[in-house]
Parts: sequence; C-alpha cells; structure tokens
Amino acid sequence: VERIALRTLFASFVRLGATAYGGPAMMAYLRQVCVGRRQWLTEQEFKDGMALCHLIPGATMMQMSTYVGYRLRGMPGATVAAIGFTLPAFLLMVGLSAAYFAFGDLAPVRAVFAGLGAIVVAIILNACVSLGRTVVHGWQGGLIAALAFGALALRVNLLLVLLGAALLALLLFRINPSPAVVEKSGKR
Amino acid sequence: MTARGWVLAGVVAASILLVPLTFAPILTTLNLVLMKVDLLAFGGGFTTIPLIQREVVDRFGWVTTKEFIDGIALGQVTPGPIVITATFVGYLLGGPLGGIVATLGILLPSFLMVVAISPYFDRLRASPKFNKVIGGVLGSFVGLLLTVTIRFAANVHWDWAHLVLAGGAFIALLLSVDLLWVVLVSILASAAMFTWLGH
Repeated sequence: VERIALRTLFASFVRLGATAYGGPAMMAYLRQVCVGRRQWLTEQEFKDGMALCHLIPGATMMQMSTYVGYRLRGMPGATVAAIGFTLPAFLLMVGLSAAYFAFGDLAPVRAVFAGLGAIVVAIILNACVSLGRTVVHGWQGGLIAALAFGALALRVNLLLVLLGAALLALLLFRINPSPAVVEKSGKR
Repeated sequence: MTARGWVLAGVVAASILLVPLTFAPILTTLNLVLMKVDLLAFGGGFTTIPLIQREVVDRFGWVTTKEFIDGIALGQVTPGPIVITATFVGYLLGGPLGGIVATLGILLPSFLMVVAISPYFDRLRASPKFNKVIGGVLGSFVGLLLTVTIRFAANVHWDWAHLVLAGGAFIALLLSVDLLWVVLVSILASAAMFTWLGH
C-alpha cells in the first residue's frame, strides 16, 4: 500500500476546510474524495467513521477529518488533517474578529449585525426544529425535551439536566433508538 | 494509539493549558470551560452554541448576549465548523492568542476522542444502553436549543423589518435553502434597510 504524504493530506483538508459550508453536503464531498477519487478508504471504513463521528460529542466534520487522517497515517496524519480542516475557518474568524473590534461600532455595521441577530434567531430555531424532527420520536422523547426545557427555564444546572435526560431515556425508551436517528442529527 | 502516543498527547494538552496561564489566567479558564463544552456537545455543530452561551455569557459574563449573537453570525459566514464561534469569543477576551486558545479548547477533546474511541467503537455502537442515553441527551438538547432561541429573540429589537427578515430566513431554511445564501442575502437586506429606512 502506498503511503500518502502528509503534505498531500494537509493540502486536501485545507481545501475541504476552505469550502466546507453545510454539513451533509461536505460529508458527501469528503466521501467522494476519500472513497471515490483517491481511494484512501473503503466504503465500509468511511461509513464506520461517519457513525463514530456522529455518535460521539464534538464538531462532526473536524472529527471526520481526524478519522480519515488517523486511518491513513496514524497520529501525525490525524493531526495534519484536523489542523488543515480547521485552519481556513480559524484564520478567517481571527480576521473577522479583528475587523469587528475595529469597525463594530460604526452605524452601518451595527445595522447589518442587528439584521443578522434576527437571522440567528431563525437559524437556531431551525436547528431546534430539525434536531427535534430527527431525535424526538414518540411521547418519551417529547417528554424529555419538554422537561429539559422546563428545567433549564428554572435555571437547573445543565449537567443535572443531561444526567436526568439520560436516566429517563434508560427508563422510558423501550426500543433502541436507531443509530440512523443519531447519524442524521449531526449538522457540521 | 501507543503508550508513547498518549504521553505525547498528554504533554501537548498540558502545555496548551499551561502556556496561556503564564500570559493570562482568564484564557486558562476559557480553555477549560470550552473543553467541557466540547465533551458535552453530542449531536455536533449547533448544539454547541447554547452550551457555549451558558458558560461565556450566563456564567462568566465575558461577552454580552449581543456580542455572542454577532459571533454566531460571523461563524455562519466562515466555512468549516460552527464551533469556530468560540474563536471569536477567545479573540474578544485575549486577542489572537485568545483566539488560538479558544480554538484549541473547543476542538482538542473531540480530536482526541476520535483517536481514543475508534478501537472500541463497534462495542459501543452495539450497546442499547449507550444508544438510549444518547437519544435522551439529544432530546434534552431540543429543549436547550428552544431556550436559547427565546433568549436570542428577546435580544432583538423586533419591528416589521426584522420580523420579515427572520420569518423569511426561517422559511428558507425549512425549505432547505443553503445556510450561506440565507446569511448573505440577509446581510444585503440589512444593509439596504439601513440605507433606505434609516434603521
């Protein structure tokens, strides 16, 4: 098996990181590159990685980059892929933050951000609805979501809420929630 | 990962924690807080937003709700992970170094988890208990996201223009219009509103 150069790996993931808008589309693109064009991984290896990254906590696409890098070149590969994927977003965000500091108080900029504030409400509400659609099935899930909402409104500690949700799930869920449910919930 | 690999990872993690401590203790706290957030961020992406908000806005008061919402907006314009909003918070707290510390904090645990869990993943995936617990946690995140939606909505000065913007964006997102387009169009619309309506 030919060893993939770390440089190649880095370049591939920088390109992915610079163009990665929207999770599912990017996952498809990564599959096309890793499984199709370059044949770095088999279809099954890629699917296993996807299931892993959707199931564990953390930023899904960054973790998928880590997984691919790790499979190909061990720890150095994982590091190079993860840094490569994150670097474009990081540099752009530092630039934007500096600009926000410098110009954030200008009236036109404030007007644009006021508009974006309204958009962020829509974005988060949409995230809430789509997560609800994929993970809440039956009254048990609905009850857990409603109880969590109530508890958080009453300023109950978040860790306690999560612990309660986990316990309730163990008690109430009769059937195993399909892993596909979890897989679809990952956004980016 | 080999034993040597783990020692190396441990040294890297420790130095990432300790280096900011010598420059600014607040960045060490930020780092720890973001690592905790990352470890809880089941479901990836958007569920991280309310988790970060609870820490940096509610608990520590490092940034205001408005600044945090602005940071989320910027996070939508940048490619890559949504959690890059953490970089913005770090930058506000401690300049470029703060940005680096925050980015490492929010990403390092999820990075190490992939490497650490992948050998045991088959067993984990087959466990009904594990799947139920994740289903429950994700269910509670639906409630969490609703809480934060209300918080953010309370921060907007609603008038008809902002209602139209938010409503339009929500409908577009429900119809699976690409998020980037929604944000770009909104920027143009906000700028136009400012010019013509004097907002």
